[in-house]
Amino acid sequence: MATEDNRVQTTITTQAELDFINKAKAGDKTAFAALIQSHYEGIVHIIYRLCGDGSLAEDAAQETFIRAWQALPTYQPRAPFKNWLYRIAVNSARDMLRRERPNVDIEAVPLSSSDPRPEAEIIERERDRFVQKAVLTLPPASQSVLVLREYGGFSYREIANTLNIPIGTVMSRLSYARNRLRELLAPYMEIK
Amino acid sequence: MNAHITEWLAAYHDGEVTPAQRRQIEAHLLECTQCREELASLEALRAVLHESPSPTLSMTAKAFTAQIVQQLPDHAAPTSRQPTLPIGWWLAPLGIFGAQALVQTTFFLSNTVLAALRLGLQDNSTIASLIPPVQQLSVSDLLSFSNGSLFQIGHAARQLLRHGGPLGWGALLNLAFLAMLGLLYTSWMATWWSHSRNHPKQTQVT
Repeated sequence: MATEDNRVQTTITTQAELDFINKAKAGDKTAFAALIQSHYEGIVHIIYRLCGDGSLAEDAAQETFIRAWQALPTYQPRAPFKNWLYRIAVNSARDMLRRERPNVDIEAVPLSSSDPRPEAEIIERERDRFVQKAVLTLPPASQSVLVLREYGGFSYREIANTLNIPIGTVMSRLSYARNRLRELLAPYMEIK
Repeated sequence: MNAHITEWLAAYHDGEVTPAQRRQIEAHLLECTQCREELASLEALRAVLHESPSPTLSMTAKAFTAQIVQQLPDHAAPTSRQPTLPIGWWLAPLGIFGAQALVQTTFFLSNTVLAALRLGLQDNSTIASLIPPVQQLSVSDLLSFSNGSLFQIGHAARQLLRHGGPLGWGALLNLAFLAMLGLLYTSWMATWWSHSRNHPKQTQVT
């Protein structure tokens, strides 16, 4: 299962990463740049799933890294760096949504497609929008858990650590989110 | 495992079960159509969610990083560390000791005033009549508080209450208050210990 690999990556703060963190704590921007580069795509991806807008996701990602830089002196390596960073990302995404929600138009979000056939492309775009909208309609608490699990590949324990909630709460929120999505996305689901 | 295992399927689906649980679940799935359908539904949902494309990034990781680095302050801002315990934690024992000092002072002053009144106002029958007589406590009554049995303590307490008077009531109130303060302080210590264990110094992320 793909999540097994993801779990290994998310659980461990590698020695190399720890070195970068320590240097960045001392004010080394180059070391922090290395940390940004290694987490940039993952962070933008998660924030995009939380707010549904690509440019907003990039803005929130910027805010995430600046907040992380400011809070870095207080980071304790007991917690994996990735979990710590993603907690900031989730909070940044929520803050950004609070500020910008009236301006976010999910219908206007351009979606890429590799299928050249116009009809198939339209259907695919429609489905993608619908899926994205369905995720966005979830309550924020359940949405964060679902996004970290499905798009971040986080384990239950990592989600619990990242969001600072018990594992039981992770499971119940995930169950709620999935049940809700199965209702909303039933027309698009092909059960084999 | 004859009953349906719906609640386990999500954990199984997410790879969150132990090898032994996995074997049990897989054995159950072989013979349960309903659970197989539930699992298939979870897998279908995951497939739909992952078919939705990722955002098209407007810049490369390198360009994005360069942009961020330009915005960073010269040094990591010295974020104020979260104090080990908020100020309120320290105010609690201070408040307890303050309350004790206040009560002790009140007792001392009231007893001094009463003693002075008794000594100086013997002829004034109106005021003197308002002052209750001094309770004569026997040594054995007092000792029973320190090393007596429960029965003796109860007896001494009854004696004090029966005879009344400022010393009897005062002693009991004082003892009760001290016990309450001790309880409050112990509770505070227990809460502090629990808080320290559950909330070790950790980054306060905004």
